[in-house]
Amino acid sequence: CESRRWRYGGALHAREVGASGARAKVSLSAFALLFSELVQHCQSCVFLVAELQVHLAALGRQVGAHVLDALVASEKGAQRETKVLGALLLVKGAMWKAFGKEANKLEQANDDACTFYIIGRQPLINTYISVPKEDSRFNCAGFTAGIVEAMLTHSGFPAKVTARWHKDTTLMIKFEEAVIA
Amino acid sequence: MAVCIAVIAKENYPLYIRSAPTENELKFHYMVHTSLDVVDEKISAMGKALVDQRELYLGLLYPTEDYKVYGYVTNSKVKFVMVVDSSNTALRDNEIRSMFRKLHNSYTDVMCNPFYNPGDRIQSRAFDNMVMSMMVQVC
Repeated sequence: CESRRWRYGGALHAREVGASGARAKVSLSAFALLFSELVQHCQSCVFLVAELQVHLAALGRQVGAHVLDALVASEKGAQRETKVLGALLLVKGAMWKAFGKEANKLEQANDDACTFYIIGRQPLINTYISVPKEDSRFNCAGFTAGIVEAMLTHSGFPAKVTARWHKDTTLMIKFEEAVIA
Repeated sequence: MAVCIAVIAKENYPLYIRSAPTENELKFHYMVHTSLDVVDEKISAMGKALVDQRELYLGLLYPTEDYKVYGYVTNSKVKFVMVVDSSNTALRDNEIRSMFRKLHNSYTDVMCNPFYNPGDRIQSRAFDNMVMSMMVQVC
């Protein structure tokens, strides 16, 4: 189970890099096929819906680690992000562009300086995924959450990212204390 | 042109070191090691605000009588260090920048390999060939 998942994750992130525009474009159907295979495979490994999110996030993390440099290199005039806000904007702009267009909103929680929200539709990820009624809480954006988490952590801002399902997909990003202080 | 090129990971261990074959390799390893301190000083956020803190290219780290050492750091804190022969008619800053850009692009290609775990030694032949081409240009 582990090795197959690893192979899928590898193939998927190679696709995502291709889709990020730095190199040749990748066909949408190829990406959709790979992603659906990935979800099906994860489903065969787990028993609970919540675990599925966890597995997808783990795969997303692998992808994010590899893809961070590719995204930065392909973005002209990109600089090292030394501020939290800069890193978040990079995630919102460059990474979302790889999936289609920029995310809609980046917000900060009122009560907690460590928490941020990114709200936006995920044009590619959820286009071809239909969720059965009983699993209505489930969201394939767990994969995106994993990617974002890896990108932030490898840039030097340790964070935990979870995906929630509001009207649009919401990613909740929680930085560790040391980052904000 | 360059006599030694090194890629250093975030935790300051080398991912890749290659020097021109005619020279004493150990000397270059030491030079790269000592230059890491200078790199850390440049990227620490508490430094003076003269240098643009967010720039990737770090510039000349320190000159010795025979060699000059240049540095470059990526978003994921992977550092590239390049040792250049001083006797060569002074390479302009732009050329160094473009060499680092090529290095960065090749490194990104290595990272994109799904079978490469970040933190392993770099064993890609394409990366190797690119580095060798940068070192043997003027011979």
